[in-house]
Amino acid sequence: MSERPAAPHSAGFAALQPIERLEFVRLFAPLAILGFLASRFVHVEHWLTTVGFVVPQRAVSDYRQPLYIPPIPVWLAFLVAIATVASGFATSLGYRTRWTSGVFAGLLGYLALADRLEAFTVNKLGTAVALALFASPAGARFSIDAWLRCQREPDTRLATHVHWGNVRFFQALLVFMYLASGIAKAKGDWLSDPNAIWSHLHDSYQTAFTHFLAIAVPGAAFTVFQYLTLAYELGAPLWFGVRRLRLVGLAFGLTMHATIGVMFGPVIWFSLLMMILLFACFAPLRWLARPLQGAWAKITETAGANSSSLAKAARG
Amino acid sequence: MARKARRSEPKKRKEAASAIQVAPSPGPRWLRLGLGVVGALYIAGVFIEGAGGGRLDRFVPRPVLFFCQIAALFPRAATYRIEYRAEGLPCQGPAFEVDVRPFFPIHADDKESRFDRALHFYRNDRPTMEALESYVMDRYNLREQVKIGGMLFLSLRIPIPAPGSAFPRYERAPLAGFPKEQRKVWYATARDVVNRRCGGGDP
Repeated sequence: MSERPAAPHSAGFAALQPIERLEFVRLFAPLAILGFLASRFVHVEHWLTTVGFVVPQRAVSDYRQPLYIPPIPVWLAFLVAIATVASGFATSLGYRTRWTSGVFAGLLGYLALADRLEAFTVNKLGTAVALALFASPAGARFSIDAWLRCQREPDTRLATHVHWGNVRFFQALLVFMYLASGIAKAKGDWLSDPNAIWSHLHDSYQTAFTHFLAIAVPGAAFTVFQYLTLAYELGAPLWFGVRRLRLVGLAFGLTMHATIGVMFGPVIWFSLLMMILLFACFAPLRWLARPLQGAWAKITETAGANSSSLAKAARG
Repeated sequence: MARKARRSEPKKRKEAASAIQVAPSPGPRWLRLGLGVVGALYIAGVFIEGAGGGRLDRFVPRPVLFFCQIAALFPRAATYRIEYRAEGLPCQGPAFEVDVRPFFPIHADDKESRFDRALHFYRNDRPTMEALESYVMDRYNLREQVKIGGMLFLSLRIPIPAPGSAFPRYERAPLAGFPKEQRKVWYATARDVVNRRCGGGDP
């Protein structure tokens, strides 16, 4: 799924992967997750402490309360919020990435489990993404860690590739997520009810754009969008598995998530997270490499105008 | 020409290979393999949970399974527009709407509010509804002059407009404006409990 030459000892699915894909996830996914959490952290005392409403401990664990975690003191809740924001930004910037991504993953896991009322796809998927970054060599390039390494070891050569699992995990996760969603929708109402999307346009998620579209676009257009979405999700292994179809899948996926983001208010953060993962996983490599390398060159040259080692690092 | 190109091919491949610098994955080989297996199992869990094909809760601990439940958003069409509301039961006089938004400031105006989520997930769970009643009642009585001795939690089931028809922009309207047939009561404090709470003066 990459355009760069593979190392001689590997090929196909197990080929080495360009590091840009992994670093793109590391750079931007934490920001989407923090964006989602921001509106909750503003009132963190209403989330994690007894200042707000707390669901009592249930006698038996179920899907709503898989693990009971008691409320924490207000000061600790603020500390958790600050630590999550700090570790999220540090992961994004690539500062002590191994440690910060581990802390970020741990805190996201706690926040998702602490209270079902605030557990959404973004913080559950976000936990998995942060854990995957923790277990990968993320931060080896386009990061503060890489920048510091170049300062310490002027002759160092920064990584260009990672082992296949570090990228294939995200790619496979996306494809199987879409496929599962498509099957669930097909088993649900999306084949039998032509107004499945239309029916979701009317509640408190509705934005001005949704309302405008709903009254300006013929009802049949939403039915067409519904079947296209279903075809996209059910066909995900095809769209992303066949190289010639990948750009079509990418374009449709990005458009679909952007549309969902602007039509369903708070869902914007989920849409952004999915768009970041989609782009990192399946965009042509040059679309990732050029902006990343350009930005890296500018940053390192600016930061180290007088340092030949940084200029060398900028050239990669 | 073709022969020349063929001769230069191994050289190019060698150059490309030497330009490749692989960032090592952390940990020893057995750990990396283990992590690979965990990753594959996680993806399988996401797929099975999303597609609804299995009962993974029989094998997988619930806290782990929780993180696999991320696919399959909105598989069903909405039959109504649902809104959750609350009414206060005063010591004297009829019930009246209590605006709970100040007590649930996180996403107060949309369905990601903790009040909406509590009713969405736990509306049939009496202990949680009692805890919610106590929380809302306490907060309300602290702020308002007219005290309440009980709560009523209900959902509004508002019909969805016909496809393609014009309809007004979503707006939260007062509960009094909705007909009785659009209301579904999920929890109500018994009258004798309200009377008992009101018995010793204001609750």
